[in-house]
Amino acid sequence: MDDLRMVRELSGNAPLLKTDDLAPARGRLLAGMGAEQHGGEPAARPVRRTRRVRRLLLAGWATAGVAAAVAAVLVLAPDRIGGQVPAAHAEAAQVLHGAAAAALRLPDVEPRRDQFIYTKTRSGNSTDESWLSVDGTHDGLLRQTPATDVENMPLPGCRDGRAAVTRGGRMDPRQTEPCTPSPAYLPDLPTDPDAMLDHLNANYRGEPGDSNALGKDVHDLLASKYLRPQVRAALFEAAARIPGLTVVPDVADGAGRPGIGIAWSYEGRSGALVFDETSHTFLGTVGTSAVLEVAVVDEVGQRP
Amino acid sequence: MEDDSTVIERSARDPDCFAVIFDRHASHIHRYLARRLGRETADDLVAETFLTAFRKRGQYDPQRPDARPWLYGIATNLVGQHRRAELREYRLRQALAADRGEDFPADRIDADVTARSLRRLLTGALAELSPGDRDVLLLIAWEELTYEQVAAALTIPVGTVRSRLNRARRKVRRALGETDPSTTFEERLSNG
Repeated sequence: MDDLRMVRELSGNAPLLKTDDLAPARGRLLAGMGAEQHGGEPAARPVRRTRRVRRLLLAGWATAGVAAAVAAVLVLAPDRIGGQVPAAHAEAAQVLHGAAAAALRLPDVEPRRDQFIYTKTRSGNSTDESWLSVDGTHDGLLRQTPATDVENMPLPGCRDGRAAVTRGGRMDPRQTEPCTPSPAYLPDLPTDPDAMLDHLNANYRGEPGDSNALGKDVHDLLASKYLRPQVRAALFEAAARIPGLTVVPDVADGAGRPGIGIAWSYEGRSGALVFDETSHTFLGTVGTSAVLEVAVVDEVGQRP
Repeated sequence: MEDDSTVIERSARDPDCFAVIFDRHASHIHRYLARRLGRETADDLVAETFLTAFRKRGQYDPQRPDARPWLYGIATNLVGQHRRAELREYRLRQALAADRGEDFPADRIDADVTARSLRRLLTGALAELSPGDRDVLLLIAWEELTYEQVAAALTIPVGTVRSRLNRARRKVRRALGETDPSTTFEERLSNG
């Protein structure tokens, strides 16, 4: 009995609509897209702001001082015995161990609550700079430079549960909306791989056994927060223990810098993180973004 | 022609070009929504599906040239928020299957009584599946997605797709078997 075919017969007689019949829906979509870009209802705005920041920082924070990264050659797969090819996971874990070691060589700066995390990223032709409030209560800024334009987007700080409303790319301090502070730095993140894995599991949003979702959580943490060297190293070490790791060789980040890709996906289809081939320093994500600079600064607009 | 991931990537800087994604996939997404929720709700939700996709486009996996599975996933989420409408739609179709053979013009007079009662049973079985199992079954049976595409759409592992599908099919078969396990039902349905 072909039950699948019988279920197929039940799909009803809904037709594939022609372009004309879809025109009203298309119109609603375009209107909605316009509202998204130019500021819809105030209530929707805080969510949108977070989303945009996350997109900008998609690749995650690289290292403070990519230029200073010491070329520490890590021999891949030293455990190769009798000509046996080591499992892909072992190789990927080696890259992440290397990334953890590279993280520990970074200068350890503890940001003050009133400071800002400066990040410069590139995605194709667009260069983005952001100044995010360390504790989330100060007004930050996002500066996107696609081609020749410069777009400034204020990121109002969240004080006493209220943040200024932005309108047409400007902040209107007379009008506020409810908010939750989004600190760029979390002082209490674990510095130990076991504790970090517990932290990831405790905040895990995917289905049981879905290592791809866990990989995304690693990526989100890397992408949305400033991590001090020990925390960053713990994150890479914890990541190395997540099942389903694969190496994607010969990839490039969003600025075209070549590297080794690490993906957490069943069948390697998820976006991969890119690490420098030699130093294993974290660079960005495959094809979409590159982290060029990260620093702690005192004021919005200040560069390291 | 640019693939979907290129268009979506470009839409980060040029948001309006996201309309291309709508033009390529809206008819299929609309039909899927109509099959699950009825035409009227589908008309409302197709724009919402693409607007949600527009908001989430920064998270789109650039290694997937075809955006349709991703869009099916977003549409399926929206279906999940309209569970009551979905069950209403199935009940309606159950009633139609029982009373109005003309909605299924392929029916032959001598076979349609059996075929219709079979459809009623099947529709009832669909309504009783757990939402996750039903999502997988219908994405495969109605929308003809591959296991990998369903996994991508619902962000679950392929193994989970397989196990959900098996469970759903078992339940469907059990629902049919409760009346008469005879294979002639299927012959009548497909011939009729």
